[in-house]
Amino acid sequence: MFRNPFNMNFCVAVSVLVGMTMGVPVHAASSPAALEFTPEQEMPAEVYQGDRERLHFTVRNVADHSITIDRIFPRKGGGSGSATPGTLAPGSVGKIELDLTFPEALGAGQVNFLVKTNNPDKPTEMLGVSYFVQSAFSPELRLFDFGNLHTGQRARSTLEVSTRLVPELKLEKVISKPDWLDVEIKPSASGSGQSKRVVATTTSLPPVGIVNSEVVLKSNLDRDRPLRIPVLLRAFSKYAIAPLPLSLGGVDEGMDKHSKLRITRFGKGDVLIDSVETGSPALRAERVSCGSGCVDLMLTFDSMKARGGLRTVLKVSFKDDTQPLLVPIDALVVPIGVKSIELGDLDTLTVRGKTEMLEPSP
Amino acid sequence: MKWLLVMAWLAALGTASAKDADVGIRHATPVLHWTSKDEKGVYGYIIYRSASADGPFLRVNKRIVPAVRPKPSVSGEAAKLPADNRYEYEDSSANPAKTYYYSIDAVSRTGLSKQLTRPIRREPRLLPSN
Repeated sequence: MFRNPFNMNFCVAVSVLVGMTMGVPVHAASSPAALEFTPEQEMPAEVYQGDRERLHFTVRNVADHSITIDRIFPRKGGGSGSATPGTLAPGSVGKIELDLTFPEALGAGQVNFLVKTNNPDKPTEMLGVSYFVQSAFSPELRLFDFGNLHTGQRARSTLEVSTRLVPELKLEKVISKPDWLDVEIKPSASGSGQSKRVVATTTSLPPVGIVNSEVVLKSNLDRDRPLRIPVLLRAFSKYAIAPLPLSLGGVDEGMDKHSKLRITRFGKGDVLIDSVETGSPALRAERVSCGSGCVDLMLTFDSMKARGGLRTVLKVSFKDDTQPLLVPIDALVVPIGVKSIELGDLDTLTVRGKTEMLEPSP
Repeated sequence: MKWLLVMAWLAALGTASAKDADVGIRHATPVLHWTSKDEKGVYGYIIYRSASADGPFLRVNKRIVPAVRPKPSVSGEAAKLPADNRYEYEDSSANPAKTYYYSIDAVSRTGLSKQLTRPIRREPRLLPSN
């Protein structure tokens, strides 16, 4: 297990060398590059989440014949590129302009642009753009996590957000939010003008299940960089289940793996299960009482019956609730002789809003 | 959040020359020195400055001060870093005649930052007259 300096619980660094460096074409062994790219700005491009930038490169034709650049486009994702002039004589230099929107994902990355030409020896050249995405706000990883909510319950989550890019942070309006959430901007408890408290309160219950949404606020930072706060909650009717979703992780081929799902009732009364459907012959569920208003489903995954892995949805129906519980469950069957690394929980650094239940309690 | 960058500190402030044109007195431009140990996973450093210890602190360096990268050895493993990685940053955007407070964040390659120092006060320094 590799630990990084920020003490993420588990972090695997994967380096993929694609045979190119920033601004330098890939040199295939059989056909040498005919175009050489040189960035006109410092690289890697240091940007903020979601920034849209225009990047400029010079391009030199190092072949002994003219080359026409037909098209420039990113290998993945959005963006565009253009070359001026479109045709380069041997030894001549032109300009390339790339227009791209950088991702929300923080940290170092690279986007590869394909440069399509009429060069029969090498019709596609590659232009790699390395970048580093920063957050304009702190905490960088932020979340409104409302936990479990049942019908009729309301909750409020408060998150303190700051920036050091302007002397005073202004969050001027809500650009988007879920319908069932009310959002207010309040002064920071610390009194700092660079911080604001964002308070999100549920007004109704979203559809039952795992709900992932987002609050987007307009800020006074350069380029109107918005503040984005993901929203997570698990909406339930009469019954709740945990964990949701459930990952069994890696299972050695031929072995069984056991896990547990706990069903609890909101309010008083027994858990009245009508049926449990695992969705896979490889997964068995046995009911065990865990006290008043509580039932555990003891799960057994038989890797021999699900070669390759498991991806199913377990469904629990109730006698006194029309709303079933649906739990996505996955497992990866690891063939004998293959070494596997358990990654575990990867979001331990996320700062969650301080959430309080308003009404009513179970 | 535990931070494995073992040590980083501001060692000294102020050596470069600058001139306070209004009064004809020469003040030293603030220069920040810091040293770090164990920079595994560190992308670089961001410097913040304020006229007051209570802030607001604003970012000084537009581009991140890059961390020293360990050179890969022949076997492909990272070579050992020197005992200390020393950095120096001249804050040419500061008014040399003013008192400032500085702090430094380290930024990981995953884009997460961590404050390394509490705000450190820097007084204006007169340069010796010629």
